[in-house]
Amino acid sequence: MQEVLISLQADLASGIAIRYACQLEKSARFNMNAIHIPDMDEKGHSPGSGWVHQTWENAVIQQARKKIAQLVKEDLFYCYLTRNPKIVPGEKEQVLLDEMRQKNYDFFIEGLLHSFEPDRFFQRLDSRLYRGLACPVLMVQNLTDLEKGIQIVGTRETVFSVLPWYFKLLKSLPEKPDILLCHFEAPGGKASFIENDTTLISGIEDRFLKHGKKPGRIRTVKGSPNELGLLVRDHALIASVLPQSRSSMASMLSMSPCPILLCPESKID
Amino acid sequence: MRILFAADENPYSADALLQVARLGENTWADITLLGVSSRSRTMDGKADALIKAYHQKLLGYFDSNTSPYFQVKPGAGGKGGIHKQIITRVRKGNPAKEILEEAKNQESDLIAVACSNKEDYAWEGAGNVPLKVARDAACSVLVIKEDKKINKVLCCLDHDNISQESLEMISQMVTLFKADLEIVVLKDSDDVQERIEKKLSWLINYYSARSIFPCIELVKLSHLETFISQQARWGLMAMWMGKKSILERVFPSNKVSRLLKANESSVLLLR
Repeated sequence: MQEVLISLQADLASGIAIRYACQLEKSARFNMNAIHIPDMDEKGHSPGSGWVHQTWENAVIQQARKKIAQLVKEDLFYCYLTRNPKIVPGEKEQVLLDEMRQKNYDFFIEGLLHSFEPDRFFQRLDSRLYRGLACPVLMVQNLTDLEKGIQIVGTRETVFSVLPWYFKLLKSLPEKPDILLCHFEAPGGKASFIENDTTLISGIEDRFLKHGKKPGRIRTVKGSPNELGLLVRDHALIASVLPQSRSSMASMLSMSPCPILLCPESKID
Repeated sequence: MRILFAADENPYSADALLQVARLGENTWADITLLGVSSRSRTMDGKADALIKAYHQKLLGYFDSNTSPYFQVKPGAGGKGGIHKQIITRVRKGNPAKEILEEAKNQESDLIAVACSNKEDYAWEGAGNVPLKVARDAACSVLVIKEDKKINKVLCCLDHDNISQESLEMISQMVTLFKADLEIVVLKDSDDVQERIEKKLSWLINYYSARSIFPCIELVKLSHLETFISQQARWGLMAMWMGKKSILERVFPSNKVSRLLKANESSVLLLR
């Protein structure tokens, strides 16, 4: 069984993430472990040092535990967690990186509300956490209907880096994933479908065959990131390699309000 | 609920009749079919016949055994039983003024009006009647654009003033058009405030309970027009235009026209 870490804050994005994860878990089967990192700054400066500081920190942690318990309770109807959420004070990204390294989780889930302006998405791609993770990140931006299916998005260079992660993490999902191969062009050009490269397609089909699966619809499309962005809006999940911030792929993905699985380039089998 | 459908003689009005029928049946609304005979136009005398024809066409969409628009005969075993009205009206004068006047007299909850795809929210040969109605009506207005398939309902609801009626209206539109729902959160800063999050969380629960998964998208107010021109092309744009609405503050009535003109889709203005 895969082990998954989900980061929870007492906010809407986390509420959406936990619900989506629970929905996904019903088909993808994984153990969900939650972690919450309380924002110590929110409570003002630490009073004193030694036991005074310790008492203050304990009080903040207790309060955080209550808040997160409330969030989980509200969404408990939809899901379950393997155990109670872990509450760990500290610098958020560092705590998450440490936890991921210690426990060797299969993937990481967090919520991020989708914004029309791409800056928030780019900032997240640039974060130390995303750049430091050895496993994929599932960025949940919205609750979606899983029947809308998965779409694997890539270029001819990157698509083969996503497939192993798909087979490792999501193979058990019933729907065949669609594949969108992108040729990025300068802004202005309209998106248009072009003929698939037969060698590339047979390479993809072979990979699926090796795992006893078949891909869904494979399409090759060219156009500007803005125009291609319209093709990544209506799915239950989009899977891609973790792109460089502000690259064409990142610009296109920034337009997707769907949950996005961002996979590191490193190859796995 | 009372729907006023204002129609002219063009095919887009005839086509929109089906949607009005489905909306009326889903909401068990009373329906008024209104034709306006403009003094400057040659429709005099034809308006009566036109509205009668629309009335017949509208009745043709309903099942006489189950529809609330037919009296159930005793012993017929029909599922209907709650009788709702369809009435027809013809008025003379300036079309936009007459439509607004009739809506006021009837205490309509929704004015439905179709329009041409060729001009900005216009009735062919009569100018921008739908635009004027959308801008000046006291109740909600649905402007159905000709030949626009509605795959998505883009809903710009005000954060603080969401009424049960408007939520229900949105649900109806999603069901009516078999569309996805996108809730656009307008914000004027980078952060989404806690109270807005609570409202959104409530909305997600409300719609999820109806098997609708709304997609939430944050949009800065300064980018709203760009967003509308890019994203609303295959949707129905629903906007809350209440007095305390953030849209009303940022887009006073003269700017509503601008906002509508930036938009290629059908529009639902909620009031």
